[in-house]
Amino acid sequence: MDLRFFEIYRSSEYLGLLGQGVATSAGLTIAGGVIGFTLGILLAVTRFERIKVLGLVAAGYVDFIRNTPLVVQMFFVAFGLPTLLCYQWPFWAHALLALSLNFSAYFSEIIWAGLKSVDPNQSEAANALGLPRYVVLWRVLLPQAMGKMFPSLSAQFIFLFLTTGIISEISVKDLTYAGVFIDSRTFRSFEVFLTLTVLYILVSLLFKTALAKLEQVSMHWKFVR
Amino acid sequence: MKLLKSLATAVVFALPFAGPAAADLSDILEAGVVKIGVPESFPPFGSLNEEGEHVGYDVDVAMLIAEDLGVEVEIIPIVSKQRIPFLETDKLDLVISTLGANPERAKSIWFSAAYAPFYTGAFGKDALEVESIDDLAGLKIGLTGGTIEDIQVTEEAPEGTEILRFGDNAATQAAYVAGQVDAIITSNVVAAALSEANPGLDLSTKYISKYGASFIGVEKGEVDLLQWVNVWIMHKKLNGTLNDISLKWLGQPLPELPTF
Amino acid sequence: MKDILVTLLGKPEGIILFQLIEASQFTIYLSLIAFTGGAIFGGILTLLRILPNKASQRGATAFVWLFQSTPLLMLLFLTGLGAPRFLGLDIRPWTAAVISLTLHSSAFMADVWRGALESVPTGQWEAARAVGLSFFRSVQKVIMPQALRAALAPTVSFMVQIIKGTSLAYIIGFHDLMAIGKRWANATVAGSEPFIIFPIMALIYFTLCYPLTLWSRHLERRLGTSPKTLIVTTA
Repeated sequence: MDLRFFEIYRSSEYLGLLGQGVATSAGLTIAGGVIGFTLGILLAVTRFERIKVLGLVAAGYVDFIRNTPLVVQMFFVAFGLPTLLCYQWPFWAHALLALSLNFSAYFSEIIWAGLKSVDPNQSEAANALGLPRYVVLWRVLLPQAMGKMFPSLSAQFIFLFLTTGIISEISVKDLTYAGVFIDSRTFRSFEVFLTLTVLYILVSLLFKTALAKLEQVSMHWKFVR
Repeated sequence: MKLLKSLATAVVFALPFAGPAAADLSDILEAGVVKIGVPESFPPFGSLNEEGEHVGYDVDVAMLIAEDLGVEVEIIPIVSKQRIPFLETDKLDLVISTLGANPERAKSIWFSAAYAPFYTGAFGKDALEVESIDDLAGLKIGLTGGTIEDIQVTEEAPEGTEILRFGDNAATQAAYVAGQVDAIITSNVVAAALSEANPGLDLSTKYISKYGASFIGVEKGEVDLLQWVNVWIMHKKLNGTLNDISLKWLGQPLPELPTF
Repeated sequence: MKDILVTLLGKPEGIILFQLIEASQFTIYLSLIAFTGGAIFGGILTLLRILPNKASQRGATAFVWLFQSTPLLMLLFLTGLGAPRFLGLDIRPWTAAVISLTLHSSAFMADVWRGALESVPTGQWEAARAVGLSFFRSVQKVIMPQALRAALAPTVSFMVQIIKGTSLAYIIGFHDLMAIGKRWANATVAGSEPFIIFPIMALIYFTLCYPLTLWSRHLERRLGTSPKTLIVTTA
């Protein structure tokens, strides 16, 4: 039983890989988060407004994504769809698509719950003022929903970040990929994966702080004393 | 009460899976089953056929070994990067999965004598002008992570070569078929099988870089098992069985294999 | 069973479907065991957190934080590859998967239990003590039954997370639905292309998970849910 961390840390090549991995994991998660969030709003609004068929489709999509594993979605997006629809993308693009679709379902569920929880009087008052529906949604309902749901959204984001390691399986050079590579060269599995765990935790703490800052900055109206 | 019932159920479910992999020869003989890792999807060495059975060169070798040991065989399909970790952590007794030998690996596991040829090279589109590894600059190369060719190419490829490492051989091949990479580094017979499976595929041999062989992986320290496997290989070489398997799966007689 | 499917669907498809369904049983076993273990450990952690002992509270909270912040994939790698190499122990994929998923679940279940306990009005505690019940008796007779009601919906919905979590275990050699499905998707047999296999696998997972999601929603309507657990565990 001997612990040898130095083999990993002595090599600048390995450190570089880890650094690149952190950047890729974080970057793809953020990109996926932004796209997923935008899509999520669309889905949530569609369901909330009960737009005929689209609302049901949105609900079905959300339920399907949330009741199937990310791995399966990812492999389908990376290997199934391209063959089916005859297109070629670099693998990080497949990963980004899979992550965005996956994130959008989880975010939309939270946003939808948020929209439902806004005082219905708000909606009535806005309508009474003669505001068009999209303004009501964009200026009145969504901001309040966001305000309530921000903690849930950021917790969900961090949770989803921790699940992104699987994109290493489609050769995306993320943090897990770096770890697996170093493990295959040094055979020091325990040290490598312990390091990865610490890195994942550090990055998620960074995200947490950043998101808390974001909340302060964008929703200053919540923090008025 | 409900808790106790759940616990009992859990234990009952866990029971069928009790019993660790025993890498020691006498343990294997006693247990009556040998766990052998074979390629999950690497035709003609190991792959699923229409019947849902695992077949291939390595699979045939595995089954014959079990037969001569006089035990049941548990064929465990694995991917390249799992071979050595699973052997080392006792999830497998033997690895018969196009395993190449190099000094780094020899620090962790033991290798038997060679039982099959394994020539690796680069294969790509006809139009590609590639004669040797140095011509790979500027190209996108696909290969499977955790393999000898992974280590070799990573070390020797020139600057500007983009190496895409995939989780397993199937992904590497799928990437080539989909046009995601310009060339792949793999075994020559595998490339042949790939061409056969995909008629019309633009795949031609660029160069053969390594005339190597496949070895059976044994856990470090298992002297009895290693000895037995080596005797088995020698026996099957002498009586022509390995030659038959080679003809069946590789379409060629067994060539001269490297020896220790 | 195999033959029915084969005659119905033809050669590779029938066999594929049979093997996938057969492999799903391991997914189910793993999920059930991880769930049971997670619920038990989660309960223990919660008890440690409500005990009037600073050390146990801090320890439990730290444990929960740690295992909520560690990716499940890392836990699997550590228990499946890291620990065996490091300790020289023989840890089989099954065992590693059970340990990883149980640790992972227990951290989240602890939060579910805590939310459920906190949703019980404080008046109940005081009333129980006022009537003369000891700490443990109050918990057992008064608090727990109410907390269990509030915990039920999020617990059922977390089961969905566990089932989805099992899909990562194939990496350390666990032979479940995901592993067998991926093997088939990789196979060069006609009729087992990725765009056929993965949707089928998604459907099987959906069939396992969706009923639980529906049940959880039903429970939420009938029994109410603790507001604090609205976050990630609601399916």
